[in-house]
Amino acid sequence: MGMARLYRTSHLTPWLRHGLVAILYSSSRALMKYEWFIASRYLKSRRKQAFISIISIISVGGVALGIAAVIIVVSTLDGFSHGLKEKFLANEAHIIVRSVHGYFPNYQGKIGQIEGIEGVVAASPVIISQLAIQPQGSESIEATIYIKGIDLQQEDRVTGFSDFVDDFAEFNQSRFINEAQRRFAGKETITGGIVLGYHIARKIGVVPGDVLRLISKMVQHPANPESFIPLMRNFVVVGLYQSGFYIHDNALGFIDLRTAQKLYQKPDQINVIEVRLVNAEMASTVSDQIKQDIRFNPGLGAIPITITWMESRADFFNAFQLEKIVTMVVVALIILVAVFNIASTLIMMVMEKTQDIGILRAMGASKQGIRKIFILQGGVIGILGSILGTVLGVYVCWRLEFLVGNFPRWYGLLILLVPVILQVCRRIWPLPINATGLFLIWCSAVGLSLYFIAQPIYLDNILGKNLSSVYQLNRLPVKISWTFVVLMNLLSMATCWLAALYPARKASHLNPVEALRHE
Amino acid sequence: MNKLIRVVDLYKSYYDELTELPVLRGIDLEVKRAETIAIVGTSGVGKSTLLHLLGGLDRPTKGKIFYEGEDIFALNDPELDRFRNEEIGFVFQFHHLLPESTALENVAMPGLIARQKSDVAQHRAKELLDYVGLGERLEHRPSELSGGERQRVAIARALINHPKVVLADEPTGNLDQKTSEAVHDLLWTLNDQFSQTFIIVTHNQTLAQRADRLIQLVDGQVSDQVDSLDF
Ligand SMILES: Nc1ncnc2c1ncn2[C@@H]1O[C@H](COP(=O)(O)OP(=O)(O)OP(=O)(O)O)[C@@H](O)[C@H]1O
Ligand SMILES: [Mg+2]
Repeated sequence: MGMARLYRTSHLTPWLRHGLVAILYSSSRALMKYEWFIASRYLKSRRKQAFISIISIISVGGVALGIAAVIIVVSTLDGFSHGLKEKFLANEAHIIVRSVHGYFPNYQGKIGQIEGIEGVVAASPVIISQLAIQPQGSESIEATIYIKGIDLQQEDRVTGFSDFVDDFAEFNQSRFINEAQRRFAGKETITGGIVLGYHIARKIGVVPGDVLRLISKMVQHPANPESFIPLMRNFVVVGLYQSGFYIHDNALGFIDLRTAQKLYQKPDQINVIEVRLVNAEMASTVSDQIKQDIRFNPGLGAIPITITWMESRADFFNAFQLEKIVTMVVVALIILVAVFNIASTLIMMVMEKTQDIGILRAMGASKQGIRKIFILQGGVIGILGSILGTVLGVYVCWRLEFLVGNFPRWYGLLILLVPVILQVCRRIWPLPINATGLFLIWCSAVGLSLYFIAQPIYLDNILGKNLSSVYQLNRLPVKISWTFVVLMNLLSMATCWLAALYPARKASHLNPVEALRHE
Repeated sequence: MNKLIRVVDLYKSYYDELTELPVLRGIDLEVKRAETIAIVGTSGVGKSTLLHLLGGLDRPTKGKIFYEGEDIFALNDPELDRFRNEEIGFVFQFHHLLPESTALENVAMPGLIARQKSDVAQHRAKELLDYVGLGERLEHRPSELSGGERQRVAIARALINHPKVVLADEPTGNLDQKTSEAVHDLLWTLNDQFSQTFIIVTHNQTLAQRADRLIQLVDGQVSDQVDSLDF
């Protein structure tokens, strides 16, 4: 007997029905329009119509899952792109100023001028150029990298350079340089120190203390003017730069600005001014101001070229944008499925309730009244589903963002066993728990379960890969956009309402006499 | 002037694609206030069809029905809905109660449709259920009631908005002899006590005999003489 009851699907979810109905019922009591009354009765209907009520619960669940999914996925994507943005804004200039002529003199004056513009924190002079590098002892050129000649004090205020290099104080004063000089014993000259990107150093196999040759350009052979020889300078690796961004750490080397000016024979000239802003979002405004205020030598090309971080990072943002669009399409499909679910639920309901519709019409219910009954059901499913989904989605996002305690995730599954066991026991022994009690137990179990399952996602071990150093984020950040949440809710409620339109219309257009004859 | 209903030259045909199925072919009929009328006729002759037209649930192919001189088919749909709600009470053979609702809610339903306050409608519904002897069964659903009890609930529901006429389509067609008798007694009491007008389609001889007037439908028309009751 106990077992037989266990398998009766119509009794599987009385508590869920109970919860759904509690809300509906109170609202129907409050309004007491007959449309509400009938709509709520249909949604909760028991016994013979248990099937219908289960599919209306599934409809609510479908909408809820769709909404929860979109909130979680978009918030995570947003959080990720936001986190990355924060990271690279921390070690990149917000605006880069160049001249069409390449190198330009009198840069300290221009830097002063730029630093005077509202919203600018600091500006720093830089020489950027591409050089080939050759580790000492190697016969071939190992790589071509960008060498930034920087003024340490000024650069630190713009890109926080020193924060990303361990054990480093000065380019040209380091124990590594002293050691190298001792080793060379005057046979070769050391031009200065270089801080090398972490990944490039690993790739060519150099460590701090090693000597690198920087090959800048070919010059005429002093003895034989017909031939050219490369201009080489020895630099000692004095530190490794690790910003966390592969593209930087794999392509950059840093030397002192004055050394660079000597190296390129451009005394008192630079080719780039880097600018840091109070608010990175103001980049285009400030960049316009720079274009207005700063003039290089008069004549053609006096107006500076400016590149904001948004422009230089366009590919990154486009990629995220694309990813977001793809996600939205997938989510739109989920919601579409939920909507079809609602439509088919209601169409079935109309067929099931044809005779009732005839009865109501015979008692004087208008077409509009019948329409309203079914629209209300779609609306209730939409609203309940959206609210439930929003709560679920925001809750999971909140858990992903804030770690409170650190538990194994499988606790979440363990917790779910409690109501399941209760449910089974209830079939066998008469426990003093009613439907409402069971509903509350289920709710708290699911809540707790999610509490354990949804924990911050750490990037140091994603499928065996350590992504935390790649992104310099130790965990996946989550950022909820409330405008988006509200928008999604409105959208889903509207689509649920739309889904109800056709069934409702069908119901209202039934011929009452034929509906009455319907068996 | 106590003429309540006047049916004039009423035609109703059903159409499917090409063929016309004439069911009612020129019905003329008058019903006085507080009258009980029994409509009899062979199965398929169009009794239910006539009743539906009388209740404004369908529109005729031709002809008119006047209630107190007013042509109900001149009303537009919302007005006709309202008319049905306020002036007509239906009782059907298979009770046609709403299965999800309790007896009380079922009886109160036409009141709710008339936009009465819920407590007003429920108060009157309670009185009526008391009257038909189901005062103890207010919270029971149709599936928890016997056939006779369901039919009493249906009668109570028909009465809630003080209709001009109650249209009953074989109200005891589905009940045994004894239960039928009890339901008939109820109808007659209502007629006696409240002068409620009834138009009853029936195959039940005793019920037909007790009516003030007997109308027999033959070939879609009201037969001139009602002879032996061999329907
Ligand atoms: N929607 C319809 N389309 C076509 N024919 C119909 C339709 N409704 C009813 N009819 C036909 O109209 C005729 C009259 O039907 P109606 O139900 O009025 O008969 P009745 O006298 O009430 O019969 P019964 O005593 O069996 O209830 C029947 O022949 C029926 O088949
Ligand atoms: Mg009939």
